[in-house]
Amino acid sequence: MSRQLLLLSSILFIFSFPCFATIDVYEFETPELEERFKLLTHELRCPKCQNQNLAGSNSTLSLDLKMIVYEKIIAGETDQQILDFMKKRYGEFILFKPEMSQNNVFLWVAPFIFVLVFLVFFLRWYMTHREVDND
Amino acid sequence: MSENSSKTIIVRTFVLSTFVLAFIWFYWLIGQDKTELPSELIDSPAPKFEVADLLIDGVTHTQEEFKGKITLVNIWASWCPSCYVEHPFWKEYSKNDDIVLVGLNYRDEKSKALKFIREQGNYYDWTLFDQNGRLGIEFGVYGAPETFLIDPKGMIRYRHVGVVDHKVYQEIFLPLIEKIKRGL
Amino acid sequence: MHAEFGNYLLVLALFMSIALSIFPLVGTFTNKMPLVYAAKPLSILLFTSMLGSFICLAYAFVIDDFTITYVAQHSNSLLPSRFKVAAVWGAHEGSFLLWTLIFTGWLLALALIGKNLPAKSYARVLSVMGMIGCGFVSFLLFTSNPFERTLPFFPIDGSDLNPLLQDFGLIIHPPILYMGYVGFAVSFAFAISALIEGEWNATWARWARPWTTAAWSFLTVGVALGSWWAYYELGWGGWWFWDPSENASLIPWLSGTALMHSLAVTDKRNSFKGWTLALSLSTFSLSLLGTFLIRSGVLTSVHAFTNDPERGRYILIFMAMVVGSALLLFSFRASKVKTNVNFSLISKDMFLLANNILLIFACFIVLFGTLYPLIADAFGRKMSVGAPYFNLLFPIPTVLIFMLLGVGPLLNWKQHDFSKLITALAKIAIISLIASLAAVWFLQSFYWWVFCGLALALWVGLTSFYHLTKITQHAQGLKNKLSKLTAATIGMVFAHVGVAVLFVGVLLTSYYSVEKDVRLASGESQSIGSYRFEMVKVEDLLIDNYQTSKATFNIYKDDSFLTTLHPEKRFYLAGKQIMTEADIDAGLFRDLYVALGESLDQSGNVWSVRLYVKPFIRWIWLGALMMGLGGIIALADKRYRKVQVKNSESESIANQSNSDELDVDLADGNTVKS
Repeated sequence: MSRQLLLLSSILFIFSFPCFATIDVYEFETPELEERFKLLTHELRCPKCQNQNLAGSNSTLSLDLKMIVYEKIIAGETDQQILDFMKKRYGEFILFKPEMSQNNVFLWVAPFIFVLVFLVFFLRWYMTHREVDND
Repeated sequence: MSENSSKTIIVRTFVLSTFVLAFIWFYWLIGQDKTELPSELIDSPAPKFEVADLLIDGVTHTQEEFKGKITLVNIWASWCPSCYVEHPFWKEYSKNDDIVLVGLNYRDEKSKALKFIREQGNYYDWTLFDQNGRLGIEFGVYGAPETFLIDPKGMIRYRHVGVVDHKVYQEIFLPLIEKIKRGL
Repeated sequence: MHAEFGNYLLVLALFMSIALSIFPLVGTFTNKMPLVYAAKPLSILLFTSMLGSFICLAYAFVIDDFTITYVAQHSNSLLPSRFKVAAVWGAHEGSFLLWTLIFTGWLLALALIGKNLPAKSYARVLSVMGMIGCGFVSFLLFTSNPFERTLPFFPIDGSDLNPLLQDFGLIIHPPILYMGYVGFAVSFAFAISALIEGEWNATWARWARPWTTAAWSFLTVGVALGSWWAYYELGWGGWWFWDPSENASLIPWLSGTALMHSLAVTDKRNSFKGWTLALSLSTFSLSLLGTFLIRSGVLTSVHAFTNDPERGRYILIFMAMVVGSALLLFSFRASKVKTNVNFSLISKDMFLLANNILLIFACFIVLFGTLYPLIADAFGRKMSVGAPYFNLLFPIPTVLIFMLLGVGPLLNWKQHDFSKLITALAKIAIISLIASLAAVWFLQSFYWWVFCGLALALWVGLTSFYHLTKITQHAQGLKNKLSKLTAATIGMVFAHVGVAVLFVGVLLTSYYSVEKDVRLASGESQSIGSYRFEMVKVEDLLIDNYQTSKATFNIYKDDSFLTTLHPEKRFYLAGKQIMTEADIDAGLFRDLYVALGESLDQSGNVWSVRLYVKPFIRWIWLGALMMGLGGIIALADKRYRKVQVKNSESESIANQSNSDELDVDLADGNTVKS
C-alpha cells in the first residue's frame, strides 16, 4: 500500500474517532535516518500536551509535526535546520534540549558552580578544623 | 570574633533573602496559566502561503492580501466546541469597517466546514481552507480558536488564544486596532 | 452517614494534632510529666481518627455512593471492586487523605516503637510530628475535603476512574511511594527535636537511622514501581521521562540517600553533625517542595493533579512555615555544633563525605533542571528542560559515585593504610575492564558508555564480594563465616550490588533496545533479530466497563514457538476514552513488547503495531528492589534495638536537658540511670 494511502486512511480514521493513534509507520531508506527521526521526535515537545514529546503524543498537532520532521529528513535537511524550523514557529518551548545560548548559560553552568562552591566551603572547613595530631 | 559574626550575618541575610524571593516567586507562579504559549511571530511578517478558498472553488489566496488593511485572522474548525461559542461574536465585529475578517479553517473536512458556515453563518470576508494544517503550523497555531491581528504592512501584531468575547475584543483588540490606525 | 462521619473524624484528627503539637512540648519545657506522657495516647488517637476517616471514604467507593462528589468523579458502578478501593487515592483529595493517613501511620510506629527514648525527647519528636500533621489535616479539611456531597442532585452513575489508572500499578505505587515520601518526616522531627533540646550527637543519629533507612527503602521501591508502571502502561516503552513529577520524587530520594549515609558517619564517629542535621531538615523539605510542585499546578506534567490556586497557596504557606522554622532553628542552634576533622584523606569518613557531595550535586542537577523553566517564566520566557539536559548532566556524579563505591566500604574509619588495599583493587579493576570488554564483544556493538558503565558495575559488584570475603576471612567453615556478617553489612552489600544491577539495566536497555513500528495484516509477521512476531488475529469484545479490540500475537524465537501476547485497544464506555494496553513477555534478560496502534482498514484486520525488544530492562527494577530490600535488611540489625540512654557523649549545646540528674525517665514509664 502506498504511503499516501496509508496516511490518508490514518487521517480519515483520526476524524472518525474521539481519540487518535500514536503509532504511525514511517519508512526510511537507512537505519541512520530512522535513528535521526527517533532522536528528533524525542527531543521535540508537543506544544499543546501536558509535557510529552512528539514521539509519545496522541494529538493531531504532534502527528502533523512528526510528518514534517519525516519529510524534512527525507529531503536532506540537517537536525539543526529541523529544530530551527520548529523553534521559529513555536518558540524555545518546543525544544526539550535547552539551547546552549547566552540565555541558558546559567542553566548549564549552575550545577558545576554549585559543586565548586560546596567544595570551597568544605575545603575551608577542612583547613580550619584540623585537629592537632597526638603522637 | 567580629569577622565571624559579620560572616554569619552575611550568610543569614543571603539565606533569608533567597527564602523570601523563592516564596514570592512560587506565589506568583501559582496563578499563572501554564498552557499559554506566547506567539513567536509577533512583529514578524505573516508567513508566505498559497492556499485555496473554502467557499469559492478555484480561488487561492496569498499573504499579499493582508497588505493595505488591518486584518483579523480567526482560526476555527467544525471539531472545535469553543468555536461554536465564539462564532456569533464575529457577526458583530465584522461590522467594524476598519478591519477585514479572515477565517482560517484548520484541519477540517470540507463538508463539515461548509456545514458549519451554513448553519452558524458566514461573517468572514474570505476563508482559507487549511486542510492539512500546514498553514496553521506556519502561524504557530496549537489549537482552536485562535485569532491573529495583522497590520496593513502584513506584520503580525498580536495572537489571542481562546474565544474572543466582548471583553477580549474591547479590552485587547480595539485598543490595538486604534494604535495601528494611528500608525504605531 | 459515612461521609459525615468521615468528615467528623477529620475534624477530630485536627484537634488531636493540635493537642499533640502543644501539650507534650509544653510539658517538656515546664517539666509537667503528665503532659509529656500525653504524647503517646494523642498519637494513637490521631492515627485512629485518620484510619477511620479513610475507611469511611473507601466504604463510600465500595458501595457506589455517588452523592459524594469525589466518588462520583472518580468511580463507576461497573468499575471492578479492587479498583473501586484503589480509586480512593486516584485523584487529589483522596490521595492526600492516604498521604495523611500514612503520615499518621509513621507517627503511630514512632509512638509505639520509640518508647526506649527518654520521655522528653520522645514527647518532643511526637510533638513536632503533630505540628506537621496539623498542617496536613487542616489542608485536607479546608481545601481538599473528599467528603463533599453533590446533594441535592446526584448522578446516576459516576464518571469512572481514568482508564490509565485502572491497573494494578495504582493499587501499589502510591501507597508505597507515600510511605517513603512522608517517612522522611520522622528524621525531620528528630532533627527539629534535637535542635530544640540542644543535643545532637551520635546517640541521636543511632535513633534516627533505622527510621530514615526505612523511609528510604520505601521511597526507592515506590519510585521504581512508578517507573515500572509507566513502562507497561503508557505504551511507548520508556521507563523514565524526567517528567517534573518523577523528578519530584527523585530529588528527596537523592537527598535521603545522602542523609542515610551521613547518619552512618554521625552514628559511628560523632562527626558531620551539623551537616547531618541540615540534611535531615532538607530531605523532608524537598518532599514538601515536591508535593507542592505537583499539587499546585505550577508544573506541567502528565502526572499533575488538577490545579486549584487556593490549594497551591495553602501548601506554599505551610511549606514556608515548616522550612522557615527549620531554617531559623538551625541557624540559631546548630551553629554551636562543631566537628573537627578527625579523619585522614583515605578513610571511610572521607569517602562518605565525597559520596554526600556527589549525591547533593546530582540532587541539585535534577532540582535546578526542574525549576529552571519556572525561573525563565518569571522573566517572561517560555522554555523547556527535558530528558536531553538531565541525560547529559546526571551521569557525571553517577559515574564518580560508582568509582568511589568500590573503595569506600572497604576502608576503615578514621584512616586506612591504602597500600594494603591497592593490589587487590588493581586486580579487581583489571578483571572488571576485561569482563566488560568481553560482554560488549558478546553484545556485538561497541559503545564507550556501555563499556565503561559495565566495568563500573562489575567494579562495584566485585569489590562488594571482596569486602565480604575480607570480613569472613578468619572464620573457618560456612556457618562461622556467615555468623561474622551483621545484618547491617549484608544489607549494605545487597543494596550496593542492587545499584550496580540497576545501572547495568539502564545501560543495556538504553543502548541495545530495538523498536519497530510496522503495518501488519492478520497472518503477517515481523522479525527483530532472532524473534519473529506474528499477528494471528484481532477480535472485538466487551468486558467490564470497556469494549476492546484484542489482538493475538504468536512469538517465535529462532523459529520455535515461544509465547502468545494479547495487546489491546480499549474504548472505555463511561468516559469515552481510548487506551492502548500493551502486552509484554517479561524475561530476566529481555522484554518482548507489543502495542497496537490503529486499525488501518475497515475490516479490522490491518493494524499499525509497535514492537520492542528491550534487553535487561527488568534489571532496572530488580536492582531497585534489591536496594530497598538491602535497606530493610540493614534495619534489622540488632544494634538498633539496644536501649541507648546516654544523653551526651561529648559536646552539649545550650542546656535544656536534665544533665544534672542521674536518672532518665523513659517514654514507656521506666526510669534508667544515665
